[in-house]
Amino acid sequence: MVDTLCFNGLNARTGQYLVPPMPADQVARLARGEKLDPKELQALQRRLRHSRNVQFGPAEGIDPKEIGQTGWGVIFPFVKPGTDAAKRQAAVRAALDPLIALRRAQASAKDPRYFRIFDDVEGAWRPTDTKRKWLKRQGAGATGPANPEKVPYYLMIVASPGVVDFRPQHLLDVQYAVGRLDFDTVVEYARYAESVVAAEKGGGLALPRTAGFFGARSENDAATLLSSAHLASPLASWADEKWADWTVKTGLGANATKDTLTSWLGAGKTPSLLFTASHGMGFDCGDAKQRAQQGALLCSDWPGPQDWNTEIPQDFYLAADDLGADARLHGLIAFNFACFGGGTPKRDSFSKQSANGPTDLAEAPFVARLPQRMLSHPGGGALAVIGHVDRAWGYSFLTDDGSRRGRQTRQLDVFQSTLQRLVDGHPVGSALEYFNERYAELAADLTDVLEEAEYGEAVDDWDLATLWTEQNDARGYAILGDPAVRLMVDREGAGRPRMPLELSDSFTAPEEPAVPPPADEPPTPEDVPAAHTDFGWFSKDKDEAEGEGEAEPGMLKRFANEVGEKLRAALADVTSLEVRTFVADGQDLAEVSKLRGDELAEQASLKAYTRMALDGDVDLLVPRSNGTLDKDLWMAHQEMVKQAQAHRMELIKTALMLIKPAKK
Amino acid sequence: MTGLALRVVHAPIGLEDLGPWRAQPAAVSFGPDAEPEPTIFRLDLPGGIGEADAALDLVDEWAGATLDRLDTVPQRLDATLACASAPVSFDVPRMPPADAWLMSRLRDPAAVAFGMGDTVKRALGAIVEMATRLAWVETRVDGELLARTRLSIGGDIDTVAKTLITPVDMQVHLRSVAAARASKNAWMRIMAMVTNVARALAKFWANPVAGVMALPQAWQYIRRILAEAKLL
Repeated sequence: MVDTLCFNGLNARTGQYLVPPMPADQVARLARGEKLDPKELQALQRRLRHSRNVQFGPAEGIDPKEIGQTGWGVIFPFVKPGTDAAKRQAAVRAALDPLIALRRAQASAKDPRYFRIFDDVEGAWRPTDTKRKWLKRQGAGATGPANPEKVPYYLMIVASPGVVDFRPQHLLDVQYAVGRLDFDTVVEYARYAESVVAAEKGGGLALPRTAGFFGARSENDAATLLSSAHLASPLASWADEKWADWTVKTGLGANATKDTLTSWLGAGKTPSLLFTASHGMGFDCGDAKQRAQQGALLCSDWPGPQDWNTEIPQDFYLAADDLGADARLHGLIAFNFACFGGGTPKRDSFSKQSANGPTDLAEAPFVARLPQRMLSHPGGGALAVIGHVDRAWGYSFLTDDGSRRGRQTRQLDVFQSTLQRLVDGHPVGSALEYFNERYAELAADLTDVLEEAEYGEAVDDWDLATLWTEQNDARGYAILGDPAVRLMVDREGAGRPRMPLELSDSFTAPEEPAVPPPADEPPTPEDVPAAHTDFGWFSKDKDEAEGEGEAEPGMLKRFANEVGEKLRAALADVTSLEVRTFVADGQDLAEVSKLRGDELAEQASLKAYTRMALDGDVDLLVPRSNGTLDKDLWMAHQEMVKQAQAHRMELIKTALMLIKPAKK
Repeated sequence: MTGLALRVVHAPIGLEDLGPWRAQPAAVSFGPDAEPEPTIFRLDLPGGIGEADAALDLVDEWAGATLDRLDTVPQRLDATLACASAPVSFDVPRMPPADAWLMSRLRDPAAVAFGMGDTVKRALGAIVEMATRLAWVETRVDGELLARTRLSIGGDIDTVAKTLITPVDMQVHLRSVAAARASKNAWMRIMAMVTNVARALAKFWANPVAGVMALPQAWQYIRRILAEAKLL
C-alpha cells in the first residue's frame, strides 16, 4: 500500500495540483529537516501546558469577550521619518482613526494602559524583530498568558507581510489574538475602518442569524471529495442541529458553484457567518495573475483533474474582481478553508529539501486579494476573514485513528469550537484560539517525535508526515482584519437586513502617495534608532535630520527639539561650575559689570573665586581685607555658590523630565 | 510696596504676564556675531532698601506656588486622559476648571483649532527664552546700581558689586539673585511641562495632525492650571 497525502490547491495555468499527492515517506523526510527554534518551542510547550489546565486566551479572570478587560492594540512597523513610507503610514493611520478611536474608548474604559498604539521607536515593529524581541521591548514575557497591562490581548498588525512577516504573526497569535490589515491603497483602510465602526457603533448592525456552509467538490479530486464529505457537510449538519435559532444554508457538492457563492455575497442573501472549503487557486511565482488571483476560491464548476487538465478559467473560481459594486458584505465574518486563501508566504515549505534548494512561491509575501476586497468593499466591508496563508492540508480535519495506516477519522472539534465561539459572541481573535492551541500542541508533539528520531529510535514515516503536515496546517490560519470584531447579529429578534453603506472612493487627507512602498524594501536596521534613543530631544543630528521640508505635524517635535537644543548647549560643559565675585568702583560699576570673561577680570577686582569640578576638585580664592578674611564678602560669595549649584540641579532635573516624563 | 519694583527688562515678546515681574520688552536686534541681549531681572527700589523684602517676598511666593502647581500636572493630566477615554456621563463634571476645559478638548478634537496662531507661537518662544536665555540680576536703590550678577544658563555666576558695599545691601542683592533664579527655574519647569503635556496629548489623539494640535492645547492647559491659583 502506498500512503499518500492530499493537499488543497490548484495551479490555474496548468490545471494541475499545486502539490501533487505525496508519498508519506517523502513528506516525512521534509519533517525530519524541520528545525524549531528551541525558545519558540519552549513557548509553545508552555502554552500547551497552560491550556490543559486553564481556559486559554488572556490571563486568568479576564473575559475575552470584554475588550475593556483584554485591551486592544495596534502595531505599526517602524518607518524612517520623512520618507514616503512614513507619509503613507501617517495617511493609513489617519484612515484608521475612526476604528482606533472606537477601540480606544472600549479598551481604556478600565485602564488607559489597555489601549496601545505601538508606533514609536520602542513599540513599532522593527525589521529585525522577532516575537520575543518585540515583546521583551514592551516589557512583556515571551511566554504565558497575555497580560493587558503590558501588551493588550487583541493586537492588530497594520503592515504588509513583506514588512511584518506572517511568521511572527503566527507566533504572537499563540499568546495573543492577532489580526492583520494590509491593503494596497489608503482608501481601503478608510473603508474598512468605517465599516467596523458602522457595524458596532450606535444602532450598528443587528443581522439575521444566518450561516452559510459552502463545500466545493469535483469528480476524481481527492482533496475536495474529502473536504466536502468530512468538513463542510458535517459542519453544516452540526451547526443546523446545534444552532437551533440560526438559519443554516448549504451549498455542497454539485451545488457549490460559483453562481451560488456569488449570489451568497449579493443582495439579501449574504449570511452573517460564511464557511467555505475548496481549493485555492495558485499561480507560479511571478505570474501576472498571481497577485490578483492567488487564493481565489475554486468552485464545483471545475470538472476535476481527469476531465480538465488545462488552464482553469475564472468561470470556475471566485476572485476579488468578481465582487462587484452590488455585492453586500457588510458585517460578514468569513472562514475560507483553501490554499493561500488568506495569503502567500515568499518561501515554499515543501521545496526546502529538494535538490535545487528552497524555491519561492512569490516574489514577496502578500495578503490575498479576495479577502482584501471583502474587507474593503465600497458597499460596506466584511469584518474579518479567516484564511490560510500557506497551503491548506487535507489532514487539517482528518486525523490518523491509530488502528491502521491511512485510516482516518474526522477531527472537527477545532473547527466546531471556533465557529461556536463566534456564534456565542466571542471576538474573532478569541474564537481562533483553538487553532493556535492546536498549533502549539502539534509543534510540541512534532518536536518530541523528531527528538526520538534524532536519538535513533524508529519513527514511522506516516506518523511523522501526518504530524508535520498537521502542524504546518495549524500554523497557517490567520485573521485578516481587526481581531476584536465579532458577529453583529440580532441575538433575540429576527434581525435587520444589511443596508449598503456608501463608502468613499477616495481618502484625501492627508495626501496619499501615488505608489505604495514596495513590500520588499522595508527599512533597514540602520534606520532604526538605538533602543535607548532620546527621541531627538538632545541630538543635534536628529534636529538637522528633521529638515525644513517637514509638514506641520513635526511642529511639536521641532519645539521639543528647540528646547532640547537649549538645554543641550547648557549641559555641554557640566564638568565644572564657576562662581566669581568682583568689586568695582561705583562710577565704573555699570559698565564694568557688563564685561565678561577675562575682560571682566582685568577691569574689576576679583575678590572671591570658586571652581568645582565634577571629579571633586575645588579651587578657591578667599577674600581678604587687611590680611584677614573678609567674612561678609566670603559669606556672600558662598551664598552665590549655593545659588549656582541649585540652578545646575534644576537644569539637570528639567532635562531628565524631558527625557523621561514624570510618572503619576 | 508692590511688584512695581520688579521688572524684567528685555523681556521676550509674547508673554504679557510674568507673575510678579513687570515685563519691559525691548526691541532686540541680533547682529551676525552678537550675543543675544540678556534678560535683566531688575529690583528697583526708589524708596530705599527697606522696600526690598516686600517685593522679593512676592517673587518667592509666586515661584514656590508655581512649582507646587506644576507638580500636580502629571497626576491631573493622567486622570483627565483616563476620564476622557471612559464612556461619557451626563452628570455635572466635578473637576477643576482647567481639567474640565481639557476634557472638552479631548472628547471633541474637532473643537480644537488646527495650527498655531502667532500669539501662541510667540508665547511658547517667550517661555523658552525666559527659561534659557542668559540673565542679569540688578539691584538698584534710588537709581544707583549696587551690584549686578550674570547668571548663565549652565549655572556659572559672575557678580560685580560696588566697592565697599554694605553687608545689608549685599544681602538684598543676594535675595534678588535668589528670586531671579527661582523665577527662571519656574519658567524652565513650565517649559518642560508644556512639552510633556503636548507629547501626552499627541499620543492620546494619535493622529497625524496631533503634533499641530497638541502644543497650543498644552500651553493653554498649563496656563489655566496656573490661573486657577492666580499665578498667571
